[in-house]
Amino acid sequence: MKLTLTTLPRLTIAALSLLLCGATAAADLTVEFTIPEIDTAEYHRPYIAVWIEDGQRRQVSQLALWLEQEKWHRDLRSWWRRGGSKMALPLDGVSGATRKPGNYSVSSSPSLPAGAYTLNVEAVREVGGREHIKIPFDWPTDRLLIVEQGSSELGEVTLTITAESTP
Amino acid sequence: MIHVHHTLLLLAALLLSSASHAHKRWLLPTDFALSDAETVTVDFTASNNIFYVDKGMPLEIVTVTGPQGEDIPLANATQGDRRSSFDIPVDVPGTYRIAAGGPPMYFVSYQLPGQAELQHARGSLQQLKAGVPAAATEVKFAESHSLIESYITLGAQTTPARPEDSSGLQMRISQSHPNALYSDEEAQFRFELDGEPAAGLTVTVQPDGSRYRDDPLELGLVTDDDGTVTIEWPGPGRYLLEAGLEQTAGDGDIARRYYSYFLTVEVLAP
Repeated sequence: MKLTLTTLPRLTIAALSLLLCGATAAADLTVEFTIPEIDTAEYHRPYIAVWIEDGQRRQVSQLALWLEQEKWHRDLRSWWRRGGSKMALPLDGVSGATRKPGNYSVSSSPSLPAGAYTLNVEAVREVGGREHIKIPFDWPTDRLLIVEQGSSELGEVTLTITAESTP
Repeated sequence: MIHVHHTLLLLAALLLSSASHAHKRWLLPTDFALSDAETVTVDFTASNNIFYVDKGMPLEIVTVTGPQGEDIPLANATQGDRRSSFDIPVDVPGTYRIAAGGPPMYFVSYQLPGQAELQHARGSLQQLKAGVPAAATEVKFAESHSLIESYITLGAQTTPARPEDSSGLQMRISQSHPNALYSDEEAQFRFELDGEPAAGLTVTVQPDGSRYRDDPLELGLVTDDDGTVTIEWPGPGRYLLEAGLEQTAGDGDIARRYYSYFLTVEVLAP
């Protein structure tokens, strides 16, 4: 575990603990995030991409792609650059329509080789702004909770990893 | 046809003012990278300020090549006084190449007895040779190669096939794709002269908006032995890359050869 306050100065680490040794590559990963209410004359729901990148910034897992017209997909600049432009859409269980402001949660049990990864949450709104939140984490881990606060197009973003529940 | 004549004369005038002092010439597409099929409008103009349209360029020398190597006709082509423009329906995934080149242009200069001023003419080499008066002295022919390019990609980038004709100064897509440039990554482009690496070539990187600042903020970079230039972008935005060469030719009737190359690119924020 290399997640420390010094390596993640911008993050609020609400809780971080290792409970068990002998971690396996199987775990449950949950991302909770808020699409904030924005008081503006012309409001459009944001396009949202949630994905995981490996240490070489390759996209290794897609968690949510809430998109409408293809014309604007490129405006999710980071997602488009790192893999979106090469992707055949829609993705089952990942693609969906844009959502209204509120709290959302997406989960996955990705099978990833052990290593350093980054969770990416990117939001862009027509006639609005763009925000991209990155949360680095190590995989596998038995228990992890990281919270980061968005400042414009995203509210609170929480990454939770828990060991896969085995009876 | 008077119009065409006029613009060709303009082109000649722009070129004649010598390779190093000519206006910048550029193709500027509305979009460089698309995620859905769309019509892209391209401006073609010559100017000193980037990207501020000033003198419409002749559209006869423009070719558009689609991702499969197909020729794409210019739609809604308009040759204006300050700018020329045309549309490209970009509907096939991959990379399109827009190029304005054409065959080399030829110029002659000579002195006539009793005339103080140097005489100039342009045309085909044959025409020029036939047209030089018998009394002319200091007859010098010059050849000018020019290539102006830009690229557009729908979806994932592809690498366009190399043009069959490798003559002149050309850019080869190698390390960096011109439609995948980001301000947090350096870019590398390879230049070739007549198919050979153009080592020691100066490439000028000019950011958009020069009209609105005192310093044009141009970067002058030099290619390495492999003809490759490495660019660290000052920030996101649109840029004009320019390279030029002037050679005194030892062979035949040509006293000088001029080469000029222009590429318009977009650099995105990370």
